[in-house]
Amino acid sequence: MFTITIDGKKVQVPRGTTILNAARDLDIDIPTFCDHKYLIPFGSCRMCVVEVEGTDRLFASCVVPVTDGMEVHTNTARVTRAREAVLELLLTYHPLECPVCPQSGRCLLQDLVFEHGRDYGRFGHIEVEKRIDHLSPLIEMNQNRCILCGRCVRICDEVQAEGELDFVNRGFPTVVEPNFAKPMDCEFCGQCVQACPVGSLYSRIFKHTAPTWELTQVRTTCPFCGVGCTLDLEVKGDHIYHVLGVDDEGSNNNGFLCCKGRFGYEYVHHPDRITEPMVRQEGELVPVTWEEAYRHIAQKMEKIRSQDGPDALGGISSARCTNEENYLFQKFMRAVIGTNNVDSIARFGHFPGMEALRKAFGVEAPTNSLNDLQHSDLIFALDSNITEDDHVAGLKVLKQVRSGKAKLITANSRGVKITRFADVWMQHNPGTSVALLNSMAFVILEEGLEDEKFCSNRVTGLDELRESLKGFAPEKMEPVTGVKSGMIREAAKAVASAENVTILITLGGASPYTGEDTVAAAANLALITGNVGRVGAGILPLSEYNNVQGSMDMGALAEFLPGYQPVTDEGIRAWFEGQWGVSLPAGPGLDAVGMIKAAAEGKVKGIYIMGENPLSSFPDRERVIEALKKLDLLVVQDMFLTETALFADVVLPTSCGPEKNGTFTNTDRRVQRIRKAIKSPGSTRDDWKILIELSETMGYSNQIGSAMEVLEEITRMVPFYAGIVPERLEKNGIHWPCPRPDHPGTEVLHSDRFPSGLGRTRAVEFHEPKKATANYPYLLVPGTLLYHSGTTTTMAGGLNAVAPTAIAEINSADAKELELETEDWVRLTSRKGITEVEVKVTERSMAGTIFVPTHFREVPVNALIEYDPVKERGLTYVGIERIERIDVQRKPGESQVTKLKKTVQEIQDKKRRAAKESGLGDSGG
Amino acid sequence: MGNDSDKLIVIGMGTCGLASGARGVLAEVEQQMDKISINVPILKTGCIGMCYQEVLVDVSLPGMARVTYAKVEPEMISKIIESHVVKGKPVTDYAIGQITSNGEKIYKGIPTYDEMDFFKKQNRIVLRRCGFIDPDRIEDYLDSDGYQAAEKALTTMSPTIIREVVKRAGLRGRGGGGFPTGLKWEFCANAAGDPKYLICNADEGDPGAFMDRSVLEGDPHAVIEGMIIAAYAIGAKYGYIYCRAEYPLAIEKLITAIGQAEEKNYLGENIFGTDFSFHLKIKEGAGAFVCGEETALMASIEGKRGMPRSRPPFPAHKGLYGQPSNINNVETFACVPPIILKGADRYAGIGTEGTKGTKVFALTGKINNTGLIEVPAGTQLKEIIYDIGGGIVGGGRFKAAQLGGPSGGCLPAEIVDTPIDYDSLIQAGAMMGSGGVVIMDERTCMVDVARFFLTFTTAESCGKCVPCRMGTRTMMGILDRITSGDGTMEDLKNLEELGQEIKNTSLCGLGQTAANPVLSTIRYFRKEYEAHIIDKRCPAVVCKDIISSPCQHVCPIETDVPAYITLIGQGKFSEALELIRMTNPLPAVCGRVCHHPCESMCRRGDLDEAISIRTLKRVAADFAAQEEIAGKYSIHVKKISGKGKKVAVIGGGPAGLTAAHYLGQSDYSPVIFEAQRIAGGMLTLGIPEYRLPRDTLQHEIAAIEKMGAQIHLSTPIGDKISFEQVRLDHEAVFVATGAHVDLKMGIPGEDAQGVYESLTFLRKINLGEQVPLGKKVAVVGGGNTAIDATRVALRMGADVSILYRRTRKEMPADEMEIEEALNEGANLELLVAPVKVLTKDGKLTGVECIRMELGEPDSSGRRRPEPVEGSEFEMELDNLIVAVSGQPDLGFLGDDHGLSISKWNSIDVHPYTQMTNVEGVFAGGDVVTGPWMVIDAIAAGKRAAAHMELYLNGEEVVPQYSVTIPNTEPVDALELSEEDMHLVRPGMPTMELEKRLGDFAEVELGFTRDMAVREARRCLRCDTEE
Repeated sequence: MFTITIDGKKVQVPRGTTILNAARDLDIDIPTFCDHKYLIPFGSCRMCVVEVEGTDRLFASCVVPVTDGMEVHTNTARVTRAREAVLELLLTYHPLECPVCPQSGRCLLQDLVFEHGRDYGRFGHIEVEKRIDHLSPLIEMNQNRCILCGRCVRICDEVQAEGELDFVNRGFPTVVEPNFAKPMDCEFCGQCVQACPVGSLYSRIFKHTAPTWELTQVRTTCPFCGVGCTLDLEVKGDHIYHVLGVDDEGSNNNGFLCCKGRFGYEYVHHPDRITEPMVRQEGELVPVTWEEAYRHIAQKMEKIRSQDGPDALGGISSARCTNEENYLFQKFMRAVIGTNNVDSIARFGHFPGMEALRKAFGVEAPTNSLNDLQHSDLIFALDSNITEDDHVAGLKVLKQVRSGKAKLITANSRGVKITRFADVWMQHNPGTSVALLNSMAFVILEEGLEDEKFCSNRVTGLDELRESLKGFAPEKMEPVTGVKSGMIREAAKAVASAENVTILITLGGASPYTGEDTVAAAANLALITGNVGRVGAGILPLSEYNNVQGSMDMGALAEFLPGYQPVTDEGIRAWFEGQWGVSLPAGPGLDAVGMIKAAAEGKVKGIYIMGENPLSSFPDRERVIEALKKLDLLVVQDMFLTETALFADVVLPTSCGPEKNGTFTNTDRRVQRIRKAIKSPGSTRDDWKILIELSETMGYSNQIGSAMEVLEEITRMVPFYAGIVPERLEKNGIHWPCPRPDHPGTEVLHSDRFPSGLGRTRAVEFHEPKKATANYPYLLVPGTLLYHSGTTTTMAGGLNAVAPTAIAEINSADAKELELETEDWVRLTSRKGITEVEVKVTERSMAGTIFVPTHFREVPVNALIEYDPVKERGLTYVGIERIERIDVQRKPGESQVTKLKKTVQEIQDKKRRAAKESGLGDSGG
Repeated sequence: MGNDSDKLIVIGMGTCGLASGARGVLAEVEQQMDKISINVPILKTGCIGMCYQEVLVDVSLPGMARVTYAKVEPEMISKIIESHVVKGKPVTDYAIGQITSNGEKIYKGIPTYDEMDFFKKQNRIVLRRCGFIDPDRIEDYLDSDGYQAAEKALTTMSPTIIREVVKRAGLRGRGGGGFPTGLKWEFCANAAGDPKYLICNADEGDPGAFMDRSVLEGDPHAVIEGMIIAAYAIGAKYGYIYCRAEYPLAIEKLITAIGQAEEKNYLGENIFGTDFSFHLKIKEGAGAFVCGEETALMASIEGKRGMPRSRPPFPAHKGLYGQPSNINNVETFACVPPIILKGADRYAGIGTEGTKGTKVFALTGKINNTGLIEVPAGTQLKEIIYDIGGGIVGGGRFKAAQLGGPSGGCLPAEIVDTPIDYDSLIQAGAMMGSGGVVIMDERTCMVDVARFFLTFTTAESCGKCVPCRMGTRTMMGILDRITSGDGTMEDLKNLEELGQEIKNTSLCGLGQTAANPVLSTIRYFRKEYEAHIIDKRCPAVVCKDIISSPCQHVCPIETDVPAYITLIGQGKFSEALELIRMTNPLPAVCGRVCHHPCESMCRRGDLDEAISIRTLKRVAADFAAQEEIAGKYSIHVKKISGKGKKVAVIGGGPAGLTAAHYLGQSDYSPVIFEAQRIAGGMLTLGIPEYRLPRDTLQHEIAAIEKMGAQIHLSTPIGDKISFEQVRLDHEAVFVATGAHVDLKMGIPGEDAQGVYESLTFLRKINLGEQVPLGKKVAVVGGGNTAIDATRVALRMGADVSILYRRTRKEMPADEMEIEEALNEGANLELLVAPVKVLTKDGKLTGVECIRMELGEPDSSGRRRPEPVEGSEFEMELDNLIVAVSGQPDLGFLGDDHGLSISKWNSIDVHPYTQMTNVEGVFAGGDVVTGPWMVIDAIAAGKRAAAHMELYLNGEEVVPQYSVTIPNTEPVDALELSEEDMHLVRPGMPTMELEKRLGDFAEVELGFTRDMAVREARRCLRCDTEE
């Protein structure tokens, strides 16, 4: 530790601390433009100069490390003079267009100029004309306003690993420019926008809409992926104008966001939002009052229940809705209707994976927190496209790997961003992850690389495992996995020899649908190498839905009451009955698969769907349609009139995340608040409120008046949520388990023991995916895109401008054989169905596979997908029978690019109209 | 003639040699040898330093000194081969020097290198092999101690000892920073990390610097050997030479040399059988100057944008790829082997206390011997300029030296004795830099120089930090304003402040020094900046935006020269005269006696000879006068109404006449009081009639009278009319009484009878008085008055000797006048100074003189005359005319005039408005300046009139500066024929010599009409250049 004196105040800081950071410790404010908490000090703006005693030079405090006994002065006349000179120079060439600048009011240059309050003018004002980029979707760049602090360039490189922006030219003509001076074409994370201290990079959605000083910030949690970034919605009236990432102590995102979190909020204001309850009358959905709607539902449900029993009704809950809503939903189904037929989309991806973890470790949740990644020295990313699916978590991986602190081993059939940074990239055949993992475990045990101490103290089932792995020598598996045995051995040894290994797996839409087995095999690997129960060592199966973990925690599962308490356990049931004041059904209900099947068979007659769109998200679309058609009652509670809602008898319009209060539980078990920022449109109501009112209509009173009161009930019913009382969430999120209000929450599970005592390794069978036979020569790889989350974001104009439609990726070898070129359209035919999509020829996807994004209504990928024929539960890889080129009527010359431009134009026009309406003129630029 | 293989022909094939045509010379040598069937080995060397003498060819015969031939053209080869190579007789006409290395025999009639000025003061350590070995042959290098230092270091010394030796030798970084090399190595050696890197900075980017290039081209192994030793001393396993891609030849030589060194295992694994391994690679820079900065250089090697970063961490700890690294430049590495081989003490014995050893400089600019030199540290600038550099091109005056490239500064002539070492240069506001020395003469504008260097740094700034990126650009903007005449004194202040701010706050060395060229020129040449700002003048006539044409710009009255010359070219003499008269009421006078600064700046003079601007003015006046006589033309005179305010002009010389003219043009009523019975002042009293015929002068004075100005002749102020009275009677007074009192030499016997003072002498003659003059006459002095007195005395039949204490080169008189005086029979005694007038009975009998010799150059580059002891000699004389200088007689002012008077007895005025400290009194001409030029007196008169007008109108008298612009609509340039392009300046027709003695008729006869028209067509009309 060094002791230094700044402005007469003493402080102790570790060696290597910069003067600037030491001053911050003392709450001494030193102005700077280029410094950024998460970036390597750059030293370019020279605003932060200070005087150091004993030297005659001025030092840039952001880059100069302290020395012991150093005496620093931050506010001498010389220092002030130098800072004023810097400001003066910047201002001399800075366009004084504050009235039209989107940053006005929070511009650092503006602030510092005011603060230094000098009359600038030694050099007058000099106009310089540089480029303004009007063409990039989402982000605009005005080089005239740029002060070249380089934050954007550095954040784009150091944080995003994109390098889309860089300095071009030398000397005064230096500008920040996207690659090859084209419109920006990048991840559109907007980190650059938020980092820009002036109005040089800005959201094109936000510009010319509202003055910054009229915006109110409402802190909430991002509603898109499982990372659960903390952000501020900037609102005025009932409109969200802007979004800022928040770097809160307890947040997951260090202030970073992805394109969805930053620019995806437009869906909230989409004109297609439904605002009135509707009931189908004579084949048409007709607006009714809420009371009418409730009455209609209640009557129909009563009727079904009385005719066919409560189990003729089912409910599908939502991985998007809050914990409180999921809780109330399952409670409604169980306590009010009296059936355990309640489930959610978690059934297809996340839940199977979590079950594997429960079987191995005893808890159905990821073992560690995302922030833990900074303590791993090896990250093994399995079937993970983390930078697209859980973007901000991906940044943590990139940082750890690029700073050399961790090795990265990836197993991905498709080339994605992180494979570029991998030390080892095993490009295995899709669907062979289990074989690959088993091979790795084989190598470790064969070579005696297992963590003996851990195995003997904390693991059981090793013999069973050893036995089951016999056939998995990497050499033998080579033809199956397509990965060279040497590479597998190298990867296995690396995993075995690293200190702290985190295994990342993405569950859900993006992953191959063998969730449970894959996670089970990965858990084996973690157990034998002793990588559980420590900071930086564990398994993180990540979700791409914001609250899939929470929906499960809340009991939106056919077999569990809230808190994974089995419905079959009498004692537990009795306790719930006591608390809820009703009697509860005893046997496990139908899960999502079962409900659809039963509906198709006519056994289930009424389904209540909250915030889910099975028609586009459940496999085997045809079967879903068949099922929905047969229902006597379909209630759909949603923001939009989804494809599913078109089949509904009753449609209930709901508010969305920014319009309500509640909590989400993100992918690392962190329970976080969402807050109401704006009023929801029309007569829409919050989901939780609807559930309470509907319960009332059906004669059950919850005696609850707010979402937070629901949370209070949850803390009583779910033991590991017991300490997560509403007040505690005001500041930060809390990781469950948190058994008591004074408990800090638990970031790392299993540190001392597993709930069941020992961790269990077990044999994981490998089922080779449907072979690429002559009938099904191609394998469908459905997946997600960085720019979208589910289908919601396709209602956000800005994101649509970047990724307007589904484009399937096909390997160049296949393209050659099929005589396909980029922008051709193809028809894909599987055993289950047909869909049509535009293709792009690429090397990212393996030969023999076709990648198709799942977000777009017009390309229903789920039409092709079927259930896992082995378990009839999860999903499986789908063989594609035929890929045929089809002629699609397109205007001559209309390529993706022209489409994109059109979309951009539309957004522009819309903005302009909106601006006009709100009385703000459009002043160009 | 012995075996051909014992002989050697050496050809300088460095970049400078190649640029001068070395390839052609080589081909010719080969061809000539083929022709006569001999086969002498040819050695292709790098630059020996004498770039100005390229192509250099040396011939070495067994047992004989090696002879250097300079500026060799292919045509000279056959003679050299035939005579020297074959017959053993050097061609002394072509040879510039010879050098021996092992007691070879010396040829007669050719100076040895040691005798050559260029080499005399040099001490070549780094350059010792350059020009003597073939850089492509490692054998040559090995034959001259090559790799012995490396072997010694690696096999007998520990890294610690090597570092100690280098420290003791006092070697400091030759890249410019001057950081102690041994210490730098120690930091890196002690830093933890593996591997370590050693980098050679060969990104030499300063304008005018090519030291590193020459070393790399001429002796690449020296750098490699230095790097091997350094690598061993710090424990580096890998090395890079970062060489700019603009040095293809250097890179080629390096590639060859590295290959050879690897082959011989001087590079690679287990060098000299030791455990030490070192691998060396070349990295080509892409042309960014900032990549010479070490952190940017390392970024560039890593493939990143070449931008500097802050230090710490220093490269010694975290350098290339984050590993401990050490960077030195080419010259530093080249210094290492000799230090190791010959010992630290020997090296430390050279140079100064703070700067040991030698330094290589690249000498460029307006200097005779451009090239590469190596001198001991501490050598004075003037030794480099005058001794080694051979002085300024064309005998010009040394004005400034720019040292250290864009980071350095300009040192003025006044501090030419600055010793060149790191600390003195920093103190003087420059820096050693990598060693570029750019010499500048009087025709270099220092503001423009500052702008040039700043343009460079502005363009080469990486753009990272605000002060450098925006500050330099802002300074550029200010300099642009100043050089186009729009600058203000505020700008100058801002330049200094901003320069200091940039210095204080920039990130890297480039920014921290970017302002130096500006700050150092302001420090030493502030007047020149002020001239641009206040006077809107560029004294060196460089800054295009404030000059219309150089001739007009330097003319004190801004005569629109190009326009009148074009009119003359069209044969329109009277129109030309009218144009001239707009700015000059005395064109015929000036056409004869003006010292024509215009011609000295004439652009045509850069090509062949200046336009005869003065004579063309004269012919315009003369031919217009002829037309006037013929009644075809009359001078346009605007008459005075007589209603204007009355203004007194005391003194009817050029200043007074001009002031009266312009006051009259503005309709004031000027009254001229002239003490003599004839007007014209010094034009009448000082200038002999053979130069300025009385009628010509009076014709122009008559025009002023015709306008309505009153001239009261024989009316000295002070006697009948007091100065006070004049003031009372007039609204304003212009004092222009000249400087008619001679100054004395201050030697014994000066008052003796027979000693004349030149002004008195000429005045008497010019007024027609009788002056007795003996046969033997001497005139003391070298100015125009001395020459006038000489030629007058010659016309009076005397034998005249001119005694001047310096050489003819230094004589201030008009060259043409001196020439004519000599033609007319004067005898010029140079380097002679009178010490005593010899008298007998109060009467002069002769003069005792002492011989002088020229000593060290002073700041003006002129060598100071110093007496040679014991060289006194006597001269018998009848008369001695002393023409030293003069001063005004201010007796007429009375006692209570209240005017501020200088210590030279002249009147103090504002230099531009001519206003004195006394209400309503202005002064100008020689009474202000002392004896000076006619045109300056006219200019003073003009300025006085303009500012008196302000005064008379009750306005504030502030200077009315402006940039030079043509007085009229620009006259279109003439269309020139092919023939016109080849016209040459005609000589001035003069009166035959025989007719001159005893006669005061005009000697110079002027041009014929045809001559005048043709001469006018030589004008380049540079005023019309964009």
